[in-house]
Amino acid sequence: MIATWKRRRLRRFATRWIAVLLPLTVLLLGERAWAYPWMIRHGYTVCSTCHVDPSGAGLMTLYGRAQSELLLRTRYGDPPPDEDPMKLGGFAFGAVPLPEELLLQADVRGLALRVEPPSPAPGVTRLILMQADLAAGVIVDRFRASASLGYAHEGALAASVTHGEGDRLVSRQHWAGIVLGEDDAFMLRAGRMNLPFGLRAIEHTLWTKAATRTDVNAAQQHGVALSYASEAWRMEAMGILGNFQLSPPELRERGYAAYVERAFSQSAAVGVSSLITYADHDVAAKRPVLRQAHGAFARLVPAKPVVIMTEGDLLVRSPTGAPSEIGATGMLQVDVEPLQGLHLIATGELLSEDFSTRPASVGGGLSVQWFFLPHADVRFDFNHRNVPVGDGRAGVTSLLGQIHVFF
Amino acid sequence: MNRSLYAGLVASALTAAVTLSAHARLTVLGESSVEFKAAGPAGMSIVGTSNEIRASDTADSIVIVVPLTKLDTGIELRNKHMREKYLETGKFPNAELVVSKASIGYPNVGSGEVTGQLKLHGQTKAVKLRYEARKSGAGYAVAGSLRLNIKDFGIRQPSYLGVSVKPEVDVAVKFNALDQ
Repeated sequence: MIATWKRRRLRRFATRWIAVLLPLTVLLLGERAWAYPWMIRHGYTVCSTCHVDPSGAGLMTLYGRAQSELLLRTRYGDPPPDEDPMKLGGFAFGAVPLPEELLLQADVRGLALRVEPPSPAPGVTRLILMQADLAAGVIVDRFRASASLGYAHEGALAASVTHGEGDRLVSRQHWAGIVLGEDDAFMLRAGRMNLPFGLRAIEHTLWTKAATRTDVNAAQQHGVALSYASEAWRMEAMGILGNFQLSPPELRERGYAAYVERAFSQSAAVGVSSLITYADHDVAAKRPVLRQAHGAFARLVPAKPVVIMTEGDLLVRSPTGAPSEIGATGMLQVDVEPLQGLHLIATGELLSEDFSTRPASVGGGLSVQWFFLPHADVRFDFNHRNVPVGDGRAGVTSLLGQIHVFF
Repeated sequence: MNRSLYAGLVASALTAAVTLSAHARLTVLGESSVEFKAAGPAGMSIVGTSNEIRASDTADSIVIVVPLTKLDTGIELRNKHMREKYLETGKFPNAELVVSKASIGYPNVGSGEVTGQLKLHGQTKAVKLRYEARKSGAGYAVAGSLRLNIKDFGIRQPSYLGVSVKPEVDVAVKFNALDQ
């Protein structure tokens, strides 16, 4: 009898931990999309040369594909005298010639995940299809357009274009615009876009991305944006009209997001970001909420193999009729590339959603990412996060292995 | 990569007004650097560097030579395109700047803007350059800069995969000179 009671209590305890930690685990999932702010190590302080999105991430230009071949992946042996990076770097490994005006890119990313919650909760092992997207872009004179359509077995709800809880179609981006000015320095565009805020890091689960809701996984919104890029400056400001793929309309946020980054050299850039949105109904607060995030970020290259990236953001949530919650989040990441294509990454981060009521969460991780073949990379992450749960704290450790292939 | 970018560059400038005797022979000692910067669209910037500079003088001029094959943009394929498609270093291995001693008030140290003759890609054109020369130890520290248009020297405007580099290229040089 007592043994049965103990078993039931143990099962309840384990169930409760799993209920708390499984969502945390999902939050620990690593990268999803292309966006490598450490490309500054190669002297690229701006993003628009290699990406259709002027602030980086996602669909690459032809030039970006060539850089992927030349700079991203490990090179084996001496290059041939007549080396042409587009032979392998082009769409479908160069097997399908495309007109210069058309860009296509298919990304598939799979994840194996192992989570070790505190005993007695059992470990969790999962295989997840993180990304299966096809993106297309058009560049004709000053006109630019980009759209993506993909399949999501789970997650990425905010980017969904079909109904249901699983097996949906998602469109993370779809926009059109024009470049303006001498040197194509300006771009004005409208549609569903990544929010211009902070470091556009690949790890969409970083607290600086998740807490500000500016990740490149599914946090895009519809709106109008104007960007500018020069040798010393890059910036983008977006008027947010809401995520039109989210219903009912009361849930949609309206406001702005913007960043300005100054490159002091080809190895040092510092920027500031700001975001203010308002939603008529916030799911968590069950009332209107004014949300703000303001912060700074930096990218530094003390020596070419090493890139230091950091971001800190103040977080303010102001539910109507309730006290404001003021918190902050920050991250520090060091990326070392001892051999071209091989990245050793150390990350530390913290989050306090409300200084007055909740202790801070802390996290850290070590990662290895290897761009080992054309169009392919693998990544392994060891992450640990310690977060407040009730009156105590919980630590959850995760091991992740990912493989990413693009065509 | 880029077949683009680069530019060719080089040579630049400066010189100096060193307090050397009229029969002195200039030589470059210690650390020296030459850097060129070319710009592409939407903030793209390409920087090439080299640590190899030679300086000498004649009866009435100072001559600065930059071996172009030593320029490095940080990307090997881009270097290859720069050397073979644009600078054609097989035929034109050096950039050479000649500045008259009179124009810089030689042999006095100082700074200012003068016109020199730049030979690049087999063509010689007049270029304006800014220079500064000051005493440094037993020798002289020299720095200079100029802007050139590679089209003036018969170099094609680099373009690669839809990205074109502007023909205007900024060049900066630093070296220490000593009279022998």
